[in-house]
Amino acid sequence: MSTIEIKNISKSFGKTEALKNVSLTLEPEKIYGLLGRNGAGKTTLINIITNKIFADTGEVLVDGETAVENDRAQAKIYCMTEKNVHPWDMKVRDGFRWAREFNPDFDREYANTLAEKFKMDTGKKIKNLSSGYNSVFKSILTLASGLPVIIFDEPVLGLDAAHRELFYRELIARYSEKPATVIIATHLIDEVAEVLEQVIILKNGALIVNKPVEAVLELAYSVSGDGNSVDRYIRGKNIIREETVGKFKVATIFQKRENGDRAMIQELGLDITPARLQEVFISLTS
Amino acid sequence: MNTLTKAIRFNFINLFNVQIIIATAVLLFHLLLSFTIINLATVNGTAGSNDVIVMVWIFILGLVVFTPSFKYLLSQGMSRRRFFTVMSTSIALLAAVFALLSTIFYAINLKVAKVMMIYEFMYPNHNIFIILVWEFAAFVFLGMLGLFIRLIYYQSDRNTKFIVTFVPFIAVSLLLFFNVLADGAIGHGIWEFLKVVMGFTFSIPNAFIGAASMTAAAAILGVPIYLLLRRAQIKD
Repeated sequence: MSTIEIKNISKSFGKTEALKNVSLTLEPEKIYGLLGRNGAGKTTLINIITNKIFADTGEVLVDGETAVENDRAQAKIYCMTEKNVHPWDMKVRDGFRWAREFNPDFDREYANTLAEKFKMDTGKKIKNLSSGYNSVFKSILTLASGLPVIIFDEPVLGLDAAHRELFYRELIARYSEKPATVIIATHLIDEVAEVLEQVIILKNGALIVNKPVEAVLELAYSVSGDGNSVDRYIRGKNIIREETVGKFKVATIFQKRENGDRAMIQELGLDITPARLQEVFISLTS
Repeated sequence: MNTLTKAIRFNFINLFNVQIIIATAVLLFHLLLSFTIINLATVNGTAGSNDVIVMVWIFILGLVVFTPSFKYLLSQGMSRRRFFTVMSTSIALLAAVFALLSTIFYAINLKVAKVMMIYEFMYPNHNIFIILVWEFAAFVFLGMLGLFIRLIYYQSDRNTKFIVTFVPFIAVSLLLFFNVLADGAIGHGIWEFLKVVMGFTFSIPNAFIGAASMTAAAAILGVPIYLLLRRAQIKD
């Protein structure tokens, strides 16, 4: 069980402010979605947590200890990066072997089982893996790391639908068996939404949301039904999506429901459904 | 086995092993070539120097091994402080392996071809142990020099890289210019300094002094390497 506290982190690259005074606490054994558009600062934040780059200001604490240049703190974290960090001619099975050398908690047997499930040839060199299998390889290393904090940066990049589903299934299975603090940075929000417990949204380097998924979804909802009735209901409201098929219309409203809204929805005979996380994300970040 | 030993083993198995094999193959090829030339042309003299090959090799290795090792070991949670220890120890061990290789080939050369080592041009004492020590010191120094240059570039932005590239040329030109103005005093001073540190001032040049100076220079290079490494960040 490990807690990560991020306190007032700022980071600039030249004139670009990648992170602006970000503060948040990642509680143990929770699954976090780190969301944001390209260049929002997700990877920068992950790189600071994992001591790969330094923050300009602020600090990251792992169980109360600084994460900077601290072998003990970093030994609790395994991070799957988007870029490959392995020597170019290393074989997959050697990647597993070395992971075990550096991390005694790495479950090599489980890694091999996962490789079989994903139909990955462990005798292949990492440089010869397709982009999808590269993601699979790195995801396996992370899932099998056995560490209290595991971070995935774009874990399903290049994966086909079947492998993406398998990844999420394995993630949940592993999490229920061996709970950890899981951070998933991804663009594929709809897919990951069901897995997440808490959502962290970064926009232009600033933290704009750090809430449980349900709380984020309460920020928006969709109404559907007869086009005229929907139009009557949404008048004056903050609409983030509209779709019309014949006389049928669906509209997503990004606004908390007021007392009279439910009654009006019933009166107009409209159906109400929660918004998708992706819709909320888009409206918050665009 | 502790993390440092594992990391050094990682460097050797994944980054150095192929280089050692290729270097051995190149040395072997050089030996065969020298043997052929000597026998075909019946030349009086030497057919090049084999340790220059290793010197260039280890310098280039110092330049290129930093990035893959740094990326992998940092992703395994290693601190930069530990990484510095791993890198300098790895270079020292690699230098030892290369010194051994180079000396073995020298011993073979003595029997079959007239290939000389740089060492032989400078020092009259051709005891194998002294050669081994001197070669080791030279290789450690060159490996650390390669690592130092790599880190300067790694830590520089585009403008600094440009400056760093041209400063040595400008510095040498200025040195030559001032040397002429000073009637050769600067060049003379440098030569005298080199003579002292390389052990040439004795009636019989002392290779151990040269080896000690190069080892000390490698250790001194460790200071800026550590300072550069302390703030190095993963790129891309």
